Order: sequence, then C-alpha cells, then structure tokens
Amino acid sequence: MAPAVSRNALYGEVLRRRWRPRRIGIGFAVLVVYWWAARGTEVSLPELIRGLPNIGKVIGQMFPPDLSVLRGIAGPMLETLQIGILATLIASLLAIPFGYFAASNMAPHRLVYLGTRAVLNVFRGVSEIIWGLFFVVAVGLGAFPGVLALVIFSTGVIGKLLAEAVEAVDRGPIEAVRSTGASNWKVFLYGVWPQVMPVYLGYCLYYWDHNTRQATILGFVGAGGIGYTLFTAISNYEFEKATTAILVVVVLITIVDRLSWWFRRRFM
Amino acid sequence: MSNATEPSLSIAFARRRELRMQVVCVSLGVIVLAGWSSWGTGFDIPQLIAGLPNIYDLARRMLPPDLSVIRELIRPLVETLQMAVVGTVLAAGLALPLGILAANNTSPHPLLAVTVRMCLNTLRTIPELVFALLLVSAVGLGTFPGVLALTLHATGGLGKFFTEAIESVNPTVSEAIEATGATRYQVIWFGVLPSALPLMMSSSLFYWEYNSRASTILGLVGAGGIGFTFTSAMQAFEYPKATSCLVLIVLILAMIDRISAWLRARVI
Repeated sequence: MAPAVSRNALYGEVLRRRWRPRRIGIGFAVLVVYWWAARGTEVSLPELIRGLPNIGKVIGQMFPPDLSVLRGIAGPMLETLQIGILATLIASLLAIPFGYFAASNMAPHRLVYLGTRAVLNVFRGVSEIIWGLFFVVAVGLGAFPGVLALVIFSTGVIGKLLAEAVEAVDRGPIEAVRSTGASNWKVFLYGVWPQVMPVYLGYCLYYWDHNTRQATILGFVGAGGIGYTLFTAISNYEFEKATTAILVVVVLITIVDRLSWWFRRRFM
Repeated sequence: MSNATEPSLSIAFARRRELRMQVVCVSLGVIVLAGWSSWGTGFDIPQLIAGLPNIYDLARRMLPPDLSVIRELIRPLVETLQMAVVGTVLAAGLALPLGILAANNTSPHPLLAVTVRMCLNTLRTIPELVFALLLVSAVGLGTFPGVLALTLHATGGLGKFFTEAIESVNPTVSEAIEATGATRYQVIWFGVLPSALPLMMSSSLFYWEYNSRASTILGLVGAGGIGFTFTSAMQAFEYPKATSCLVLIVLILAMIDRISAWLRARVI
C-alpha cells in the first residue's frame, strides 16, 4: 500500500514546481520594467491620494446627470451611428482590391505587392483621431472628415487581414479553377473568395463595432458625432451634461457590440 | 432514375431561389443603410476633391520632417511607452480579483458576478480618451491622468478577458482538487488560475499593445506623452516637428506590434 501523501506535502510540491527559475526570471523582468515605467510616469500612491479629492469632486458634479439635454443629444448620437456604418461599408469595399494586391499569391508583380503593403501600413500607422485632424483641415468640421478618417484606418486593417486570409487559402480550388484557363481575377472570384468570405465578413462586422467606438471620440477634434457634445460639456465644466452623453455612449456601444457579435455568430 | 433526381433537383432550385432572395434582401438593406448614413453624415465626394488642395498645402508644410528635434522627442516617446506599461500592469492587477468575482465558476455569489460584470462592461465601453478628458479637468495636465485613463478602460477589457479565461478552465481540474478536500481559495489558487494563466498573459500582452497605441493620442486632451508634443507642435504651426512625432509614433507602434506578437506566440 502506498503511503498516504499529506495534503500539505502535495501543495508544497505544487508550489516548488511553480517557482521554476524561468518563471522567476519572467516575473523579475516584469517587475523591473514596471518599476522603470512607474518612475518615469511619476505614478505613485501619494500622487493618487493627493488627486482623489479632486476626482471625487468631479464625480460629485457628474451626478445626477442632466437628462434635459437628452433631446439635443439624439441628433449627434444618430450621426455617430451613421459615421460608423458608412465608414465600415466603404472600407469593406475598398479593402477588397487592397487585399487582392497585398496578397503575395495574387499580386501581379512583387512591386505591386510591396507598394500595396506599404500603403496599408501607412493607413494603419496613425490613429483614427489623427487622420481626423488632417481631414478636418482638408474638408472642414463635421461628420464627413470623421467618415474619411475611419475609412482610411479601417481599410488599412481590413485590407491587411484580408490579404493574410487570401495568402492562407487552400491551394486546391485555386489550381482547379486555374486549370480551366481562367484569368487571375476569375481565379480570385471562384477559387479564393468563397474560402475567405466568412472571415472577411467577420472582420467587417468587428470593425463596425470598432468604428462606432472611435466615432464617439472623433468629435474631440471636430470630426462629428457625439464626441463634440461630450468635449464641449467637459471643457465648460458642465459635468452633469457630460454624464448624460457618456450614458448615451455606453448604451449605443453596448447595442452595436451585441449586434455585431450576433451577426458574426450567424455568418461565421 | 429520373424519379430520384427530379425532387432533389427541385429542392436544389428552391434552395438556390431562397439563397438569391436572401442575398437580394441583405444587399437592399445595406444600400438603404448606406444611403441613410451618407445623407446623415453629409458625405460628399466633390467636397473631398475641393479639399485636396488643402491637404496638399498641409502636406507641403509638414514635409520633410524636422529631424533635428528627434533628440527632444525621445523623452515624451519613452514617457508614452511607460504610460502604456503602467496602465496595463495596474489594469491586470485590478482585473484579476474582479475577473475571479465575475466568473461563474469562481464567484462567491451569482448576483455579485452579474454586478461586477456590469461594472466591467461599463468601464470597457467608455473610451480612454473620455476618461482622460475628465481626469485632466480633475487633476490637471500630465501623465498621471493619462495612466489612470488607460488603467480604467483596460481594467474593463482585461476583466472581461480574464473572466472568459477563468470560465473556460476545464471543470475536471477544479473537481480533482476539490476532491482532496481543498478550500475554495485553494481550488482557485492551485487549479483554476494556473490553467487560465496562459490565456490571461496573452490578453495582457494584447492590452499592452492596445494601450501603447492609445497612449500616443492621450496627449490630444493634455494627458501626457508624445501626443501632447504633437498637438502642441500642430497648434504652434511647427508642422515639420509634428511630422517627426508622427514618424516616431508609426515606427514605435510597428515595433511594439512585432514584440507583442512574438511574446504572445511564446506564452500560448
């Protein structure tokens, strides 16, 4: 009969195995990086404690929310929703040619492939809100520059993801279509597209969610949507109005998040 | 023979008609949505074309980047990275207990789980830029409100990921440990958390990448980092300096993208 192992001995063994040198090394590295970063940003407990009364004061001013502005917020809220929808639709369409030319197995020439990749990298390189800043300079304040900013960024991301999906497709159907003498784009249409479409739709729906979130803050730089209402309310210290706008943002994002998730589950 | 094929053929045709109807309905819906959204956002291609000279003008003033200021940009750039690290580590520290409270298999009470989950969802839906703007008006300009804003938003996001990671742990693991007569705390510490650890590390790395991207724009509302340098340069019409900031942002984000992907491939 095997000797009974006491529970404490068992846990001791587990703990001993847990503290392997590699794990200790990783933990130590994280601590060092954190210490370096915390010193640089001057984030500390005393700082937090000093800030707490002011934060408490602002939170106090935020409640109760001023619901009388709700009527005025309905317009910007719809605009936010529309910015997200339109930007996603345009970006989804633009991403298809970009994805085609940025896939190494589809691009007609290596230079085209490299060029398209570079363009997509630039599109993705800068955040939406900075693109928004530029488009506001170009076409003036309003929702239009917001749509353009989101289109640029999400074309960059969806295009890259689509290109990767195209590169990963099963070669069989491509060979089969090509052996019939089909041209390149027909190979794409009949051999590749059916394979990548579910993934592509998933990305588009995901970016609809993402773009709606971004559309709520584009107004900070004057690019339309509810962000502008929010920005002016906070800048003018009308915190009880800001709370209403934030509540509307929470509801809007939650609905879009749920819808996007539901559609993704249906299509994929 | 013909008796066997005809019904299946008619079924195939019916299915095809049904599919075509679905495609038509979805397309119509998308077109209506696109029309409604472009009307609401004032989408106007001629306006974009009319604005092209403005973009050209801005680009001419921004290029070439002023590389002589790179030296003074290093500090804000490092600060940006540090904000992301602190924001992520603090958020992971907060999200761990919250995730345990919110997960169905570890929460002490279902009601508590639902409440915590609701709080996490709310934190997640409010963009970090909104938190930053509120905190800047509470505690003043600087990296401190920026770090807090990143922490708040990432706590919501990581809390959700951690909850899902904990819930996905195979129940036999905790049952086996329970069978040794372990307490609830011991089951979580020795059974659930070790199994959920790889997923939790991977999502923390994802949020480190996300926060790095977000921290580059927090400066737009005065919450520190290179975004603040960028905004100040734009407002002072020092366009070549602003371009240098953008170049650095793009380079550093591409680097972090790589590092994060490499690390995530190692922990999973």
